[in-house]
Amino acid sequence: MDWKTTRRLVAGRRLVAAGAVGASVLGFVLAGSSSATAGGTIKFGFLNALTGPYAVAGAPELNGIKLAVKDINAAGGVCGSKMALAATADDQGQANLSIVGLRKLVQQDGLQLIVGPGITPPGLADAPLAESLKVWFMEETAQSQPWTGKNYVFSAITPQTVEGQLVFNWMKKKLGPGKHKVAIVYAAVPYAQAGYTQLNQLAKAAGWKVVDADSYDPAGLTFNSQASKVASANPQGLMIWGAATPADAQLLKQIRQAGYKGPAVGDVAFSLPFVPTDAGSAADTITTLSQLNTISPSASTKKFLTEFKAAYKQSATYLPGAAYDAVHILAAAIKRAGCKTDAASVSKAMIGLKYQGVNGPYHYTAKYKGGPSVTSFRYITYKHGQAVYTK
Amino acid sequence: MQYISLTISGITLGSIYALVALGFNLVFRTVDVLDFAQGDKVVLGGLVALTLVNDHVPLALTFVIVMAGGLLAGVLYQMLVVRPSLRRGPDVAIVATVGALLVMSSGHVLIWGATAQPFPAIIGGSVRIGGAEVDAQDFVVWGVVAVVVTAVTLFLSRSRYGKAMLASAADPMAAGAVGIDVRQMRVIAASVAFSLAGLAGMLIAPITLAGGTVGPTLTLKAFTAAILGGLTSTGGVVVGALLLGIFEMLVGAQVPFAYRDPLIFAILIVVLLVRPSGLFGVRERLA
Repeated sequence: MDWKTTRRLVAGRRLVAAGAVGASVLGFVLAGSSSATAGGTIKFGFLNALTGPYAVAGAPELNGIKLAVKDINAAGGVCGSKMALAATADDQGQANLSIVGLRKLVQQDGLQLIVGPGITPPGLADAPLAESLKVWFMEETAQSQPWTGKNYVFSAITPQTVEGQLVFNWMKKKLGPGKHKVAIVYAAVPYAQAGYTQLNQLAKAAGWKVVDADSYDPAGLTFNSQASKVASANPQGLMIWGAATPADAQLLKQIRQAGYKGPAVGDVAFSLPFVPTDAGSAADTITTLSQLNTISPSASTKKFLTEFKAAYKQSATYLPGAAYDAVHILAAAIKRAGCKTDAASVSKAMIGLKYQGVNGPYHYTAKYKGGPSVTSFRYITYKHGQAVYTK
Repeated sequence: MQYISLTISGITLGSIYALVALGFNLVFRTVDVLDFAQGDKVVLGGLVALTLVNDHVPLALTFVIVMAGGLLAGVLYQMLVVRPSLRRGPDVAIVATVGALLVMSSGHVLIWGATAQPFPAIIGGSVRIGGAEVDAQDFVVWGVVAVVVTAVTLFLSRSRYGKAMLASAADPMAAGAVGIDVRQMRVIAASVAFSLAGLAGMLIAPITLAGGTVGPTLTLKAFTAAILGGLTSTGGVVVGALLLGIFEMLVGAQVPFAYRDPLIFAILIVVLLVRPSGLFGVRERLA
């Protein structure tokens, strides 16, 4: 072969190579700045405890997600595209499994939009990874640490410090001014342990004496020891922080059976439907917080409650409510991003986004990326098994 | 009154552990395997019973169906889980039972959901003992445990099948040589253990709810009770279970919850250092 032919061949190969590189780069750029085009599908992933002891929270949240996708698509989708839950990962409420699950959704399934875990330890573990992978990540944890200072991480649940303050405020109003003796009982899970720490600090700052502070295993068989201690300590007020499991109702029932007759206030876990069912008449003796308005719901909340019950044969709670809202917020953010579906654009569009969800009003800002504001909470109690408002 | 109430609660809790521990005891003495799925079999029994009760099946018939179902399930369990793994040694069989525990605990959630559900009381009302209110349901649990432990003890020590089952576990080759069908004995043992677990599930559910995540807790506590009392002694596991239940209640009322289990297990270690076979277990000699 002469040198002119060789030079032509080499130049040709270089041109082909350059074209291939250019096409790859173009493909990457196009993928990175993908848009929802009419007739396409907007895919997202779900990471949560679908099995194991925390599935009691994760499984209903998945149902909330599915219902949201159905409702959004029935209303025409987002920017002409259908939304689709493309993949799920089960972390069983464990941080290490959650990290693996997040990597699987992003690196294997290729998803940039993830509705994330609902349990605190996975939430804390996943947030830095999600930020480094630059995926839009909407958690369902009641902590502010995961999203503080992050650009890609958000939460659909109000930070529990807001709840803790409301629980304490109710007891303070009930007991009146002065020094009082109180008891605090909390589930042996990180969410409730953090709640106890806050209540303990607030009580001591108010000059109260915590005469009994004890935890309980949400997977335990009986709570008579804890109940007996409360009754023996005879506090003027009792604050309980639950784990959102039926054990919370059993504990309340046994505390009343042990003879404690004073006022009791619990966190939002005591607003779940199994509390009046499992605690019986003891449920009438506790005040708790409620976000999902099941007493006088708005039209959209009523639609959610009715559809959820019909589809899944169980009553909706604030947990699937948060998941339902999370998907709607994603849809709203995509619209706000000019129909762009890449994580960077959607995350940027979250700042300044306001959304009226079934759990209350959401407003995401550069500094606050958590769930509905304090105004979304109401105090409720039970009368003959039915939730009623109280003060 | 507080101590009476706690002791009574402890006896009920210990009775629940005893029902599960008896399953451990029966399988260990006859198949020579520690079955870590026993707690989840109890949960399964409670959930099946709840399904039947919700379908308006009378309670007495539900009992019969759950126990009969347990016998059948035990046969399948022995054939599919224990026998194939036991061929490779008892350690492998133990691991297989842990696998069965995971399958069952996840299976419960897939079929019945993750939330524990209320179960109607078998018998309502309560009685006052020493100033403490005792649910009539608790008496049912105590009574059933007393009947079951007597029946199992008599069966293993006095009946032909019982002695054959013990012989099969002690020396399968020798048992086979004298005409005992070792496989059949093991199947019977597994069936009875599964059926007992189903019975336990029905008795426990009105007290602790049906379903949920109590399976591993039950397994751990029942195993602890069995080790404490002596895994080879039927009466011993029951005494161990009752002691554990009462101790948990009394100690739990004095110390923070976080210290209770470490304290209990520390005491268990001390007991085992002094009595390695448990309080009533018999140390076996090879020759």
